[in-house]
Amino acid sequence: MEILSDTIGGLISTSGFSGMGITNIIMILLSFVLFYLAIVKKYEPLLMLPIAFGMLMTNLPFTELYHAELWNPATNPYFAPEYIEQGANVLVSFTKETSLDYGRVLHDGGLLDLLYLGVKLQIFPPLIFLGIGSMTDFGPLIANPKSFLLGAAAQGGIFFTFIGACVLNFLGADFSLKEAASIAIIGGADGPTAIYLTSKLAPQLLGSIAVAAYSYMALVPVIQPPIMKLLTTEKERSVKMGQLREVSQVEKVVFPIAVTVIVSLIVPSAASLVGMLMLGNLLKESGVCDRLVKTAQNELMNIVTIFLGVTVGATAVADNFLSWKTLFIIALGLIAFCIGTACGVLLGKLMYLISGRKINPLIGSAGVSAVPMAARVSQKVGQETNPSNFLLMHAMGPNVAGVIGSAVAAGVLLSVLGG
Amino acid sequence: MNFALSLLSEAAKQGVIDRLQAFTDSEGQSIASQQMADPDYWGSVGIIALAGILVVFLILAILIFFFWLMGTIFKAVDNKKKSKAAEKASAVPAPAPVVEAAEVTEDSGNTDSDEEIMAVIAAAVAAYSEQDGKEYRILDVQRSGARTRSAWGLAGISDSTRPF
Repeated sequence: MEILSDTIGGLISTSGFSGMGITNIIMILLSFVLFYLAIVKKYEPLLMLPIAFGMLMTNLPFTELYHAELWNPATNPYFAPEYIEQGANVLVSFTKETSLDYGRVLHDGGLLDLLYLGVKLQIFPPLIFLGIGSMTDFGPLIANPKSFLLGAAAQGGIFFTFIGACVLNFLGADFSLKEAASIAIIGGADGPTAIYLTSKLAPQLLGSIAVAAYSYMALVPVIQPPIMKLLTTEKERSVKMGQLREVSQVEKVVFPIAVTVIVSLIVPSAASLVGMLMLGNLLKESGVCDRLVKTAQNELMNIVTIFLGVTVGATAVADNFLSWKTLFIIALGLIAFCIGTACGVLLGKLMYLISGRKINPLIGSAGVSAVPMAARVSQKVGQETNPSNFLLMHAMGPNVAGVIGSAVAAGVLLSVLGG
Repeated sequence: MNFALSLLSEAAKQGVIDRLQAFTDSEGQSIASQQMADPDYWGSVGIIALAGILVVFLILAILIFFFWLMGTIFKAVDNKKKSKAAEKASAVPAPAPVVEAAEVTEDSGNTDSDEEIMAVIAAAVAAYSEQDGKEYRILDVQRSGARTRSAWGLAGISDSTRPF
């Protein structure tokens, strides 16, 4: 009898129930909300669902799948005072902020810790960009290079929000410069770029920033139209744009090579994102790598998406996620999206005036990446005003320019703050 | 470009951003409040934001110039080819092309509201309208008769054409 009670007692004490705290319960309930958003509301389900599942697993006690402490440089045993006193690491003050004990991660890490190496070492986001590049047609952008300007203007949301996050410190938000930059990049409306930058600058906010970024990307059709309508007149919205010229295959092959060279020379820290995006595109446009294109578009993309989603979700542990900072991030993310949209539309209006009313300002809002959702929104709002209007291809130009623009913006922030 | 880079290098020379970044939480105070206490904090925030957007604009402006130049060259080459082809064609008189008016028939089948199919149809109509010089308005699109493609085929197309 005693053996039985001991066994049951042992089972209970090692079961997850004994380690379940109120914060775990809240986080698990939050993961259920994300499940709802992904499955019922279909908010970017391909990423939101793995993120929600990662969040669920990491907050179940004793699963040992993800250990937040392994990813905190402060817990690196090589930085323990007694170790430093022995003079084992004289460079400690220079490396403390950036050094992780990867040997410990490999030795003690769980499944999600090991997969998280792909995020931490900046492997997954560029691979996602490879897949995106292999699916993107830059033809509309090559046909109308002016679209690059709209893609740049929409990045205004990032830099306004950077200032906004710093100003929020007066309300007790307590964001460092690196955290402010990571939050601001939500305005780029580009999930992989946001994850890439945040994992380098403020990994402790990765969960909240990824959830905010993907939620708002899914909400683009709700967030953008009121701003677009508010800033444009009916006459401006009804402008019909002339058909784009045909782009030759040679131009499409030159494009990824030229963009890689130009961007990498000016902002080397953007090279991994932009370079992989362009490699994917070159594979597609060259027409000689069908097998690789198929893999990049499907198997590779899908595998990396699962790993990226589940590990980013796993970083959403209660200590990091349940704080005022998360609420501030959600508010700032929305502001970033709204300002980005407004900047794009306003530059669109300027181009409308300069071009002699030939450019529909609605295509400016598509500059906030979120491919192809933002371009579809431009098309939809344009067609609501003038049913014979067809803006989709025109909006795809700023849309794909926005992807390059947000990667460049991330590179700039990384080069300034990542040192 | 130079202005933006000089702004950044100016900040780097003074070491303000590095100094702000060096604050750690080892002294018990949060990094943000220590950073904010620095007299150059707001100046640095402004410089990072301003130089950031300028660098983004300037890089994309360089790309505009490059691809505008490339487009101009390709258009010129294309026009040359076309004019050569036209010369050859005019040497051999060809019968006038016969344009047949296509009639769009609509059937009262099930309504399909697939956005991608609508976009493709709208694009086709827009291109046709451009050539024709007349305006068309899509009021309704309905599938005629039985399905031309299996559900699996449609799912495959939808899956492979939906960008990430």
